[in-house]
Amino acid sequence: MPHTDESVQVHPEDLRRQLGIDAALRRAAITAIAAIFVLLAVVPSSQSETAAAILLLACGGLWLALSLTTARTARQMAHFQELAARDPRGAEALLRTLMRRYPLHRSVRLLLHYRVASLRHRQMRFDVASPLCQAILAERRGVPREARAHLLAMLVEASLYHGDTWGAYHALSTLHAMKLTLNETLEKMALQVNYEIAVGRDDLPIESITTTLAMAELLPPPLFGALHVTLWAAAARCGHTALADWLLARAHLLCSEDQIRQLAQGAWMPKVAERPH
Amino acid sequence: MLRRYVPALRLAWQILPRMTTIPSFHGRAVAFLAHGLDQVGAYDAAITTYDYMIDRLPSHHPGSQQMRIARSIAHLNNGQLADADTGLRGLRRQVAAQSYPPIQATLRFACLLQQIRTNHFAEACEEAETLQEGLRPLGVEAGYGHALMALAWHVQSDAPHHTLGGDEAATWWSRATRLLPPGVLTARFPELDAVDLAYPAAPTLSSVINAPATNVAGT
Repeated sequence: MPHTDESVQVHPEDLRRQLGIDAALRRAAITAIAAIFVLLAVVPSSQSETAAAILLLACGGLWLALSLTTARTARQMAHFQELAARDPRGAEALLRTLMRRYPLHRSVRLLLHYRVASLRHRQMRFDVASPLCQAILAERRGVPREARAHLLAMLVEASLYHGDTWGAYHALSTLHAMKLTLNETLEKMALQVNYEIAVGRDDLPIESITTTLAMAELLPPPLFGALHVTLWAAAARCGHTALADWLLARAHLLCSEDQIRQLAQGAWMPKVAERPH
Repeated sequence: MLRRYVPALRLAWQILPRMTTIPSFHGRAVAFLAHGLDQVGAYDAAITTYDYMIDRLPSHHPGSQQMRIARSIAHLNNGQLADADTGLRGLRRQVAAQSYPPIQATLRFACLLQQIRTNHFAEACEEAETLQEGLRPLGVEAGYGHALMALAWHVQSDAPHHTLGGDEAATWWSRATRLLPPGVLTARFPELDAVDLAYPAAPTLSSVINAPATNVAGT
């Protein structure tokens, strides 16, 4: 998906700043509400029952306004993936609108930045996506487990794309330590194969190719096809000509000619799947 | 999905009562049951299960479209050609209007199966050029479509004006068996037995793994 000129500019330091503003506004609101209750307790109600009722309504309204902003933002992000696939400009415009909203609950703010990171990753703008992924992962609270796994997978992909095997190793080892769903485990398996080949260990994925290919049938077809191209290159380098020919013939059935050429050049990469939230 | 359908069906049936309190998981378990019943040839039960899911999904939902295509395929496998035709007619325009490649590919496969089941082999062969690209989003499951195209060409190879029908059938059968084993193909569509006997299958992974590696330096 090509990026547009109207794309939202988001930097990793924006996340900390926005989380700080959200927290400060929520604290201010809670302080104001607490102060109102204290005032009501201290000032005898006989002096102004109307004023007390108005203040209580104001407390409720303030709290409702804060909650509605978060709820509305979360609802608008629920279908973001479909919007991004169907209308990239509309997706960027929506992100620009949502980024300006304050205050948001911590988990919703993190989810918003996660969506930006996913979008940039799909656009292969790893220079923007990777720092965002790292900034989100650095936050201990509020990041759902599924998003954490996907952020790590994106970091592995981006690191391998740039030849940063140390970065890929670090993210991959963190993924290995996590409890993953079946889909996430299969995607981790594909990333593991790419990593082993990137560090020059072509023999490792070839040794376990029967199991790998059997399990990989459960991957989304683009990832499954791309795995064949990767394994073909490894088999060819190991001198397994018959196996390489077999893998390439299968790759031609699973991927188009353009995709195979771009995969071989590193210009295209099917992405690990984003999880709905 | 590793084609161990009977144990998978048994497990899905056992866990189904526990999913009733979580509608999304319950729906997935029922969809899984429908798929498994379809694969083991219990088409009447599969169609009933597909009907259950279709009644509970919005008509424009991609899941509903997928279920309806799968139901039409089950109708075709069960000999209910008129029901299949009614289902597929309604879906063609709907699916063309949206852009989910796997659903479009599944519909393409269903239409091919309809042509085979209604003996329109010549029509199927005329559309062969776009079939490989059309079924690509299905991954290995595209092998079923390639096998049916091989059957169409095999039948046409007896026709006087299709002198290359045998070559085409062999090519499509090779593609099909490169994606799926011949036993899996013939178990799903028994009419492919004739094609399996007539044409060689592609080499299997185990046969090429055991081939000796050449010198890495290329000598």
